[in-house]
Parts: sequence; structure tokens; C-alpha cells
Amino acid sequence: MRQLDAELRRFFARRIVRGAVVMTVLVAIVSIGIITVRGHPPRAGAGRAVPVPVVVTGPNGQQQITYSGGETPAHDTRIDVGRSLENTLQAMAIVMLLISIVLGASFVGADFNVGSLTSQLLYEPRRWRVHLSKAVAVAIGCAVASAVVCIAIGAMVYGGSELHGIVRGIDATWWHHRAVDLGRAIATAAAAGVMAYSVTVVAHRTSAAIVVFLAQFPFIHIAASTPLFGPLSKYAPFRGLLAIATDVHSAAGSDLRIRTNAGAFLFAGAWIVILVGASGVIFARSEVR
Amino acid sequence: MRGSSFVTHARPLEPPVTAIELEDLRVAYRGRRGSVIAVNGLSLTVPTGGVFGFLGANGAGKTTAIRATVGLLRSSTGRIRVLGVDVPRQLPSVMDRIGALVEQPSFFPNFSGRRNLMLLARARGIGAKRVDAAIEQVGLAPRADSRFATYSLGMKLGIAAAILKDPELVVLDEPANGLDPPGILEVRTLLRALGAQGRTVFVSSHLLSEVEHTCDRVAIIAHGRCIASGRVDDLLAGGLARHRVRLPDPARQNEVARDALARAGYAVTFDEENLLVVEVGADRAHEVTHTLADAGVFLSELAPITRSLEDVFLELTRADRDRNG
Repeated sequence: MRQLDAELRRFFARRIVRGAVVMTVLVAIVSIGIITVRGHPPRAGAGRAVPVPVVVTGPNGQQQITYSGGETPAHDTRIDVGRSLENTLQAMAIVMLLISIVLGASFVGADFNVGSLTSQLLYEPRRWRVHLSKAVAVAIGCAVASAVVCIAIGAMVYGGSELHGIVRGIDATWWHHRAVDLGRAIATAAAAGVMAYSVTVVAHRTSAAIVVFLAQFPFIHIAASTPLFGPLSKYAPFRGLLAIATDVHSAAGSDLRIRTNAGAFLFAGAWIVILVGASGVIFARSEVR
Repeated sequence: MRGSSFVTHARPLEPPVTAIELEDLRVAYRGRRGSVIAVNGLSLTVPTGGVFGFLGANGAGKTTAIRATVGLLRSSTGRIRVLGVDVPRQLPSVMDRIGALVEQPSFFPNFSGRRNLMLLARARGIGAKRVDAAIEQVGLAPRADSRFATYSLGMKLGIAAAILKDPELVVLDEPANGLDPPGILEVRTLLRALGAQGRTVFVSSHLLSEVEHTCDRVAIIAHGRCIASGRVDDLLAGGLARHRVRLPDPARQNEVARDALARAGYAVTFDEENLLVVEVGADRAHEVTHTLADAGVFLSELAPITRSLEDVFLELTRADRDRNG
């Protein structure tokens, strides 16, 4: 536990972690602020005129369709926490997934870069203990960062809706679903951070892990239909992360070929075990500089 | 560095009496052009207590041997025992008793020196007071809260990290590297203080005069093997002891004296000042005076030629190079 405590302190002491959280929240404040201020209720005459078909029957009984200009009310553009927070949290889960890849990879990438692993191993030579402590610290750190960002953004959406928007349909079921959304964002961030960390332990470079994960985007979306990459892309770890983040039953998650949420968690979990295990074996045997 | 301010918990040393034992250690790296042997059958015994110098030219294998000793790399063959346990298998059981600085100190550049030490200390349950004591010990207190990136080399912080655990065995790899003369003096004082506290200090260096002034024992390695080991005094006294002979009238007497000494079986040469140099130990120096007196030559000075550790080192490494081509 002492090792984990030290790793967590090291994780949260890094400027990139605090900077990423603060920047994300600031961008969200600006975006949500603009949406809140610009939102307005439906106004008659403000909408686009839509011709309305009118059937006119002539004196000889012949029917003729004419169009008359009509007016429809403009859409209600006010921020609506009950309707929009679900999509907001899903989007934030993707954003935090990408940020967690950077945070997880750079955590040990910085160690390799400055050579501080040598100092650490002179204090704790049990490399598996160091490796697992770092992996757990990354998971906890990314989860906490994701939770802070999502809760802050959720609070801003709620506040904006209360001040200058719509608050309706908020009941126990809604809260339950949003808690699940929040849990998805947290789990995705933790899993992404650990996976990226594991790749960096082997590659020794932050950029390598980032490239490995970002390269999977086209792999699972574009190359998935090709004969060669299609079957392979079914097993890309990024697919599991996206499935957790977006919910396999949602429109976004429907093309990920993972049919249940349990399957998504199992898939991502298997990848975490494989990556952490393999990188641990390599880390335990390699020379550290 | 204030040597006396860190006398905290120097534990009584227990058997075994050797701090480090290397037995036929061999470390090979796989390079692009095949295998590179960095350490080649190194055997070495470092007794507990005192300051032990580990000497060798650049590339001799000092750092590789140290890295293997503290578990940072696996040796290809051979046996390593540190504080009585096998390395790397049982290293964790004694790691709390070992403090080490290997190569350049490596810490997070954006954290202060104190924060870097605190992060290391936390992993072993070491408190803030010990961190402060270590910082004070190496004379880093005024700069402890500055970012590590602003330190010139950070060698003092590395030494502070090494002594933070209040270790029985301190392993330092080139601790005076890059330090200015006052810094080197501080390191020397610290090493002596640590040795005087009953700790074992194993220090590698190529600053031979520093080692001569600081260490009780030394080992010299070349090409990954130990070519000499023992007490510094013994090494300096060993080898070919020589005496310089000054005569009242060298122009006239040198040849006579040389012939007399050569007939008596002494090896005689002349130095750059045209003085006679006789290969003879202190225990037989008086026989030289007899031999010369018998030949009718009365000397005005017979002085031992003292060797520095640098002389010994160069002599031994040159001999090793000649042997190995």
C-alpha cells in the first residue's frame, strides 16, 4: 500500500494531470456557458416558413393540390439537462478516454525519459510490485480525473438548465441512468489509462502508446470491412473501450460488434490482463536505466 | 556537508563479515555487432565497515558491476551476495539496508529536491524528518525546495537519496563527478564520516587522488576483471619499491656507484635528474649504503620513492593491457 500511495502521489503531482483536468473543465465551462446564454424558448415567426399542402376541390369535382406559406415556431434551443446530459456524458467518456491514454502513457514514459525508475527500484526492487502499483495508480488516477471532469460538467449543465434552460424529467430513473453513464466514463478512463501505461512499459516512449491506440480508430471503423483487417479489428482493444464508453445498445455503440455491456467489460478486462501481464514479464526481466 | 549531523541509527553490523561478494561475475550485452562483454569473470570481496574504492578506467565495467550488485540488471553468470544474501533473488530482504547512487542522479525535473526525496521515502515508510536530515547532511537545505531541473547536476540530491534509508551499505557510483573542488571535499568528508560510523561505503571513482585520500581499501578492475585488490597502504607499498641515491659529485661518482650496486645484484637506473634509482625495499635500504661505502662512495641522500595510487593504477592497468594485447 505504501508503494501505491507513493505512486498515486506521483501521479497527481504531475502538471500534465492537473493541466488536463483544468483545461477540460475550462473548455466545458466556455462551451456550456455559450450554449446556456444563446438558448431561447420557441418563438412564433422566428422559424423557417414551411409550405403547407392544401387540397382544393374544383367546381367539377377535380382535386388540386396547392401550397400555402405557413409559419412554424423555432426549436427550443435552451439547455435541457434532462435530455442532453446523457449525450454530454457519453461524449465526455470518449474525451476522457483519449486524455487517459495520454496520462497513462506519460506516467511511466516520464520515468523512462528522466531515468527516475532507477531511483525507484533502488528503493523497491520487487519489480512486479512496482509495476502493479503503477498500473493501479494509473487506473485510480484516470478514474478520479474522469470523475472530476464529468461531475463538474454535469453540475454545469444542471446549473445552466436551472438558470436559463429547462429542468424536466428528472426523477430517480434519470439519476440512476446518469450514474451509470458516469460509471462508464470512469471505467473507460481507468481501462484506457492502464492499457496505455502497459504499452509504454514495453515501448519506453509515451508517443508509442498514443500512436498504438489512435491507430486503432481507423482500424476498427474503416478497415473493419476489409477481408484482412476485418476479423483482426474485431479484437482491437479500442473496440472494448468504445463499447464501454458509449453503451452497446446506443446508436454509437451499435457498430462495435460487441453485443452486451457485460461482453464489453469482459473484452476490455481481458485486454487489460494480457497487457499488464505481458508488460510485467518484460519489465521484470529487462535492464532499467 | 556536515558529517556529524547524521549519526542516527548506524546499526550494529552482524555477520557475515563481507558486505559484497562477487564471484566470477559475467555480464554480456547484446549489441548490434553481437555480444559485448562488460564484466568478464569479476571476483571481489568487500569487507564490512570502512570505505572501499572501486577503480577502473572508463568502460572497465565498474558501473555494470554496480548495476548488477544492486539488482538493476541480471548477470549472465556468476554469483552476487550482498549483506549475506543472494542477489537478485533475496535482494528485497536487505534493500532497506542498502543505499545507492548509480550513474547520474535521475529525478523528476519539475519536482523540488525535497518532493523527489519524499516520494521515494513514502514508498518505504520513511518520515519527513529523515528526509530533512538527509538534505541537511549533504548541505542541500538552501536549495531543497527548488525544482530539480534547476540543479547543476543533482549529485548531492542523489547522495541524499542514497543515505536516506540510513543504510549499512552505501553504494556510490562516481559521486564526485562534475562537482567543483569544494563539492569534492564535501563528498570526501561525508564518505569518511559514513565509514567512521561503521557503515560500509563502496564507491567507484576515477579520481584516483580522491580515492587515495578517502578509501581504506581498493579494488582495481580492467576489462571487466579485478586485477588488484587490498588495502591502499599495501598497494602503495607493494610492487617494485625504489630508492633514490644522491651523491656529492654525481659526474664522477655515478658510474662507480652504479657498477658497485650492479655487482651486488641491484637493478639500477638513472632518473631525469641523473640521480641513481635503486630497486630496493625499505627493509634493505641500509644495505645500499654498505655496498656504496665498500666501493668508496659516500652518499649524501638516500630517499624512498613514494608511489601514488595513480602510479599503481597506471602500472597495473598497463601490465594488464600488455598481457591482453
